[in-house]
Amino acid sequence: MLFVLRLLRGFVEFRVFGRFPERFINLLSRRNVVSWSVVPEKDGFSGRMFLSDYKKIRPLAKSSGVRLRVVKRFGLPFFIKRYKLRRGLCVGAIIAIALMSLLSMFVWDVQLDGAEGLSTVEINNALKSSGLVAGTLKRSVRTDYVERRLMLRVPEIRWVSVNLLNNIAKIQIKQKAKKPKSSIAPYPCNIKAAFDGVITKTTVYSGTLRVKKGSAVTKNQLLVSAVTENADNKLSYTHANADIFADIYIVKNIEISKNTPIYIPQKNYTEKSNISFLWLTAPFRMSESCGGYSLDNYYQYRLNLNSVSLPLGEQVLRRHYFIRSALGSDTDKAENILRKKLCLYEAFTHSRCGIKSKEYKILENNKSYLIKSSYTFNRNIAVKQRIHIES
Amino acid sequence: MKKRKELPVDFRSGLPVLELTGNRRVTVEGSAGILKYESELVRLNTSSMVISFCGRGLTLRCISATSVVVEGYITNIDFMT
Repeated sequence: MLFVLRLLRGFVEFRVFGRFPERFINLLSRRNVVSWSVVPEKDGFSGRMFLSDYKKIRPLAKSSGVRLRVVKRFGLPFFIKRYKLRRGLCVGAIIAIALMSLLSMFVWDVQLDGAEGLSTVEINNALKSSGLVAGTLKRSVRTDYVERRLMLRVPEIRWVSVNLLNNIAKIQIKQKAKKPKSSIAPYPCNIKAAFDGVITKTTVYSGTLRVKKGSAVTKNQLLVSAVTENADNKLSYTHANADIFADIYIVKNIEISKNTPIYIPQKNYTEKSNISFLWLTAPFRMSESCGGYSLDNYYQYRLNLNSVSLPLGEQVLRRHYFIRSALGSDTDKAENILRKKLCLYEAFTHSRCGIKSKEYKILENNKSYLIKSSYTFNRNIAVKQRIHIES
Repeated sequence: MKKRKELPVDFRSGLPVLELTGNRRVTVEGSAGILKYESELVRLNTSSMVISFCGRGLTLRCISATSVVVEGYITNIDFMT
């Protein structure tokens, strides 16, 4: 501490040599001039003293017949003198320090840990409502309040901890364990066929199988019965459970009118962006809207430094333009649209099925296009149907 | 008068006060000046005597108008009255 204070005042290391160095020391002490690290040397001594004192001791040296030499200079006054002409450097350093201390007062980023499978939008909304977002003043964040609020708003959270590490708010989340599916069958039920088809594979977990592999079944036909017979020839009712796979034949027709509007994407797009700094945003790039049909995409970029997200970023709104026209007699486009619709049908209606065969043809008439498709799917056709027992 | 009697001997007589820390440091209160300053010999003037410290690597740790702190390996102290 003493050394730091001496550095702030500035001090010099000097050497005294001449006829009466002792007399010089005595004069210094009588004038209350503080000196330290006084080490005897040949024909004199060396020591250190404050810069302000050193300026006063010239007459004393003269009267005691010694000569003074400055060996080394230390401290802030010499540093300032050296960089006196480079004022910009000092101003820049001061601004940088001021900026750093200002920015360190805010939360730069909110990081979630352990929120896999949970809605980050919901969590972020809960954090926002409790006053924790990027740009919040660090001292205004009440971590216990944020934790309580988050647990109330997101019921899937079992435990949460909010830690302010430097300028990053780290939210550690532990999720509630999901309730396992009950293995106890609550009610007796049969298994019936959901589609017409030919059985290819049967796996029965409980119940009595009523069909064989290779047999043809119709919709709502009993596949697995809930009634089982035990060793004493007594009947009992169970919750039938089985996987019954069958080849099913399905015909699907999709029709689209020739007046169906289609949107043709254009190559040009416009971008608008805002610069965001903490909670502040300011327009950065602007462009004139072209009008017509458009689709907006929103992107957000954050500046990262050594995997630390800085509170500086850009929010971009990219607008793509489309021209609307009718389908008309454009066969290729119609075929393309119909094929896409067929793919969507496969993906959403028969998502867990194997496609054994697929045929389709496209027909055109005056008003519309029609796709006639025929599929052979291999799928689980088992569907449970509850049975009521009158006692 | 009573209070004056209670004062220690050194203060009454104007003698220098020496405080020794082993043979490594000595604080002299009542110093009137330095007569000799070398690494083997430091000679101090007081109002009633001259005190010499002999040793090795002697340095003046602190100097003020009335007191001096000498540090080093002190082997001998002489008093010349």
